[in-house]
Amino acid sequence: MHTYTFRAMGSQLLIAMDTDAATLYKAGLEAAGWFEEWEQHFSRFRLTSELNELNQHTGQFWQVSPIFWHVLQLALEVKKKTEGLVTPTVLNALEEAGYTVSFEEMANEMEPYLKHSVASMESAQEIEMLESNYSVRLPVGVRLDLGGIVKGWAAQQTMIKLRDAAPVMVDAGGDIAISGPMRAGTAWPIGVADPILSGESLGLVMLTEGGIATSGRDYRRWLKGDQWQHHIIDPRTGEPAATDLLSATVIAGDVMEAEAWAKTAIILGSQAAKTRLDAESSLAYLLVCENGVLIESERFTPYRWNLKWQTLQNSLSA
Amino acid sequence: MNPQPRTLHKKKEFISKPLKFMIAVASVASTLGLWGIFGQSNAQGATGQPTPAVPMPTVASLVSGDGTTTTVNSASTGTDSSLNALPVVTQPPATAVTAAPTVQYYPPAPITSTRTSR
Repeated sequence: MHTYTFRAMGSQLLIAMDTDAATLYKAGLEAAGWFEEWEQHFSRFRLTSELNELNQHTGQFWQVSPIFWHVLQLALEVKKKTEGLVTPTVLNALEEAGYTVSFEEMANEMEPYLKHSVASMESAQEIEMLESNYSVRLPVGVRLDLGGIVKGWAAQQTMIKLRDAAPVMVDAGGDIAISGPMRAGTAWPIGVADPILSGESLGLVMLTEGGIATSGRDYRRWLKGDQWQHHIIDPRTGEPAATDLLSATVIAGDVMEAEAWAKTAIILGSQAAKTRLDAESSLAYLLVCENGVLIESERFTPYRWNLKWQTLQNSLSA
Repeated sequence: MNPQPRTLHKKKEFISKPLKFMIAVASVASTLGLWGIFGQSNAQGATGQPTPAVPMPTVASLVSGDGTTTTVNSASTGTDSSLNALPVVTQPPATAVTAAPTVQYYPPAPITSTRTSR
């Protein structure tokens, strides 16, 4: 087992492959190139990115690349699935909250960039798309932010591109995609970081496929005046979500789904999140409340490492 | 008149000394033997079961390799310095003897961790 790390999309990337070091090194270099290319499409912190070009041409049809088209469609599907809670049209609200530069560059106090409006976040359905020539028309004043989906999508794409070479796991800043079991048939051991005690773990989960993601307000937060702000916008209010949850970890069929539902949980708060996520039979979750209380779904528990996993690993390696 | 020669009268011994010795030895032996037989009979009667043939404890058997510890307990051995050197078995922690055997299992190290994006 070898790992390859690099930084991209404002996050730490890690690729683990169940193969020899040379194969992984080659794959890691390729992946770093892919992420660089994707950032040029989707980063809102690059003035020349495709996303910024589209955002600067609201009110008119603007031709986008096939890859941009594809990700925007996924983002709109996520919006529909989460009943509008995870939407790409939150950029104005993010900037209003002070998230105007990459998090690494962010100072504690930022000047508002644009006055947001709730209407702009509710208007994703008004985005017009012409598939014949991949053209998109954003309503006037509506700007997109694909940060809520693109990291998970990038992890998933990297995993898909590399999985023919060897079993692979891609971790894009905590959003993790898994191709399948390792060569011996064993699961991938993945920790769940404690959002309260830095460096501590809430446990170890064993995954053989799918994805796991964590969303929270324990890291990307900043002071605006005397108010703490964070990056998860509640489209219903146009402001950082007022929630009792500090973080939400979700296991799902793929990492994009896991990421979307983790964000949804944060926006909804513990009680509503429990009800909503329990209704999705493919999800397992672990919620951490700001008072330290853990809420773990029944479907999450079997993923936790226990004697059953030891027995299974032993039988596979025998 | 000539005096009659004096004859020495020797007490006649009807039982010879070796025989006496043998009788004495036999008496002592039979007494001890009967004592032992009666003693064992009493012991069986008290318990209703044969007395098990338990080997006498020895220092060697106390100093075992089963995890018990041996220490020299001078307080319990009085003033006899030769006894001070004898090891005394001290009780090991209760869990070592009485607890059910525990299964040792070790989780693997995580390859990475999921966390809020950073």
